[in-house]
Amino acid sequence: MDRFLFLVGTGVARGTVTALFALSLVLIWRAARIVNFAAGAMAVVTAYVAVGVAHATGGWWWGALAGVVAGGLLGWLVERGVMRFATTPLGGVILAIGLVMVLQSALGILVGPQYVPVAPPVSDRPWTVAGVPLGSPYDVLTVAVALGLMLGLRLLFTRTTLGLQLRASAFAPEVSRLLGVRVARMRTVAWVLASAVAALAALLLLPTELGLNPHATDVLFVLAFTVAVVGGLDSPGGALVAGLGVGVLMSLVTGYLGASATPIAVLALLVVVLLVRPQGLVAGVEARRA
Amino acid sequence: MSPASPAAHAPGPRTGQPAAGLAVRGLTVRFGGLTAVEDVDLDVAPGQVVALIGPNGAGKTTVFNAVCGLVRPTAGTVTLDGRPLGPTAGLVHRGVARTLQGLGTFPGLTVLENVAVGVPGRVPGHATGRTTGHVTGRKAGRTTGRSTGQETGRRDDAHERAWAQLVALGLGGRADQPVTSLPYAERATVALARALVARPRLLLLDEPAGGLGHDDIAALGRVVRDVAAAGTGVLLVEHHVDFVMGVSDHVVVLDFGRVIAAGPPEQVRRDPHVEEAYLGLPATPRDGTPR
Repeated sequence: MDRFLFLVGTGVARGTVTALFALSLVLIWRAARIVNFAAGAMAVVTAYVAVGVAHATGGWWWGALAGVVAGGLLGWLVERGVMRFATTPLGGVILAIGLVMVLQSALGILVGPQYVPVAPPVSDRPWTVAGVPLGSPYDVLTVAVALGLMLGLRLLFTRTTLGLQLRASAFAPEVSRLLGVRVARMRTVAWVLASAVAALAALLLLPTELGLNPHATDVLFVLAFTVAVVGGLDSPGGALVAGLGVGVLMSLVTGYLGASATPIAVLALLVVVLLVRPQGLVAGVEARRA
Repeated sequence: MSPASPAAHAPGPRTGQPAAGLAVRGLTVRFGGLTAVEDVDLDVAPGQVVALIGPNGAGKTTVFNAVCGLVRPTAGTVTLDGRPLGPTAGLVHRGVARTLQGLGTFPGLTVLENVAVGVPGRVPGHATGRTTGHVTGRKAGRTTGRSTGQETGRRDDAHERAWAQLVALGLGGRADQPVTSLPYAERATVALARALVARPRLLLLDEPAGGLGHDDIAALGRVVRDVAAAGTGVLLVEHHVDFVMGVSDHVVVLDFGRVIAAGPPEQVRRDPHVEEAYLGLPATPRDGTPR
């Protein structure tokens, strides 16, 4: 039982990070109808910027700020410089995969394959309540930052004119254009937002991993892609729910069956969801409500 | 207003004073080898309701799309108050609003949000620089000297305007419902509200009576007359002949992309060409019909 609680606590923390990364995929999917297969590579580039700044200034928070800003900038560059030339969904996928190769090869040349350990800004030793290890301060920070950011995004989308226009152009770009919404700009804004969110998610993940390397976010991307599909690619709420579910599931599988079983569990979940509910768990609910 | 000789109209922006309202001159649109619209002249003065009718495939929607910048004319000009109409995203700021055949409401948004998207404002997503000198309210007397762009950029103001527009069209009680939960007639009203909330000087309605029942069409007719009475020019494409004849000041009939008749509704109704092409003989095979 102790073990179970600990695994659930850890799973929730990992799950919110995965959900945050999946949210980045959802944002881009909604705005551009592209699955951003380059999200992982883009996030690892911004993580190098963040870690570099953190080492230079000695402050994790400065690094995080730099990482998020770099994420937004990279999102802008990628959308304006590469992705807007994608005229078909398949074209977008191929461009994104090409981008992964370019970014990861460039990182390999510039920084090499070695692991750079990243220390957490707060302790990652779990609190023990009555002898049961629950979650660490870092887990709490992770969950708080991730949920805070999701809440902020929700407010942006539901309470501001920009959010309204982002949603309108995601649902019906042609009509939005007739109504004076600059749809191309909305798409760029979505990429900037999504890329900044992904950068933050990668930064939150790093202290719990072995260290930063050019492939540090590969597993995170695969997990987040699964989460996004499970939640319904169109649904930010679905990403959160599915992220928590997948996070806890992965944690339990790792804890009870071993780390080698987790990729199989992820893929099995993906297959089951695609077979039973290809539109995702939440999308159907939203469609009926909407 | 006779469309017979485009040369007689050809105003040239610099010769004489530009007419107020929409002016389409010599509009020709070709898609590859197919001529969809040929040499069409059309005027919509402020406060005037002009209907564009014709059989299926006559080119009505193509004229609309050319006015909206969705289709590039092969030849001809489209001007509003003497100035060419620019790209689609800038139309709202020239005072042009349009509804669509498929309604085009945003499925994931509430009724109020749908309408709020139509409020132009100086916000990041909108083309900047309102150029509308006089903004026409739906009701006479609400014509303000200038609408303050800064205010309309704020969400609360946009929602307030959207709310007022919904109330004016009798949909206030539906504001917070998802738009897809509404019956078709009410969704059509939402689409109309979304166009009207921009306080357009030119309103383009693409088959507004399509799919509506008798009472809804009557209500729509009243709204259109109100809008025109407040000084907005209205151009509508419509199949519903009774609605067109009841609401329009001027009717333009297209057939095979050309204007075959134009004038007041009664005159057009009696025009033999129109009867032949459209009104009286809907079941006649078109191919052998002499024109």
